[in-house]
Amino acid sequence: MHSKNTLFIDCKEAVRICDKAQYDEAGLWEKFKLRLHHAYCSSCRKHSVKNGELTKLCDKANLKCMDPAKKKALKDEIRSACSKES
Amino acid sequence: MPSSKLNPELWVDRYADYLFNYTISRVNDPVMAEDLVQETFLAGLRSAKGFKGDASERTWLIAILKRKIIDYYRKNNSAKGKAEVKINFSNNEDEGDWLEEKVADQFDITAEDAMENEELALIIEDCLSKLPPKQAAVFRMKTIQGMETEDICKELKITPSNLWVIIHRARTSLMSCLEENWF
Repeated sequence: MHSKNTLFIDCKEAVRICDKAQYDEAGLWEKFKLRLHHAYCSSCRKHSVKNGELTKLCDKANLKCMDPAKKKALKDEIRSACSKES
Repeated sequence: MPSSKLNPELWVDRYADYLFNYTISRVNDPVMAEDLVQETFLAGLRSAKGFKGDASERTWLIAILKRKIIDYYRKNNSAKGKAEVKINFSNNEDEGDWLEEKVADQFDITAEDAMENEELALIIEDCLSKLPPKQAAVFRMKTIQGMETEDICKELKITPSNLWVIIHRARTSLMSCLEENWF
């Protein structure tokens, strides 16, 4: 395993930081290492652009989730209805 | 061939969010949308015998949902007497009489955008439904519900590094799915 303090990171680590950065969870030092990695790794650079696009699309789509509690209640309701039938 | 058997116990996990996003873009009220999705599932259960297996389970549920949405608007209209649509072209004398002078350019752009976004939301939901359930669940919690990493880890009993691996796999699959269906 690589040490956390190395300046040069491998692609696996770069991708991990890139994912974290999509959720604003990458630290400054991590972002710097990612930039440095992108300077010489074109495939990670491309991946990063695509990853950013996915984030933008998800924001734009304004996706919604049903309330988890409501989902669970609905699941239970369906389950009990099914068991009554069978 | 679509499978001709219904699996009502999996409906909520598989289709609830898809149907919810479909509904919310049409009724614009989260609570009402939840109720309509619930009614759809229950109506589906009642009429499960009528399912012939010609369409996929989801298409069939969407067909039921569409009727529920129409019923909702009908009920709303008859209750409030809003059934008629009033078109009044010239309520302001200061503006020109020609329709061309009154074209609202800005509105049309946003309307189109809204339609495009709605389509996009359904495509993303579609792509999400093709992911392994756990990947989709983690992605939803993180991206759509905006939950903290720590909270998700606690709830699903996974480690943060495990979470990022799952997120990475989900995002990679979504990227290629969207590349096929959106761009």
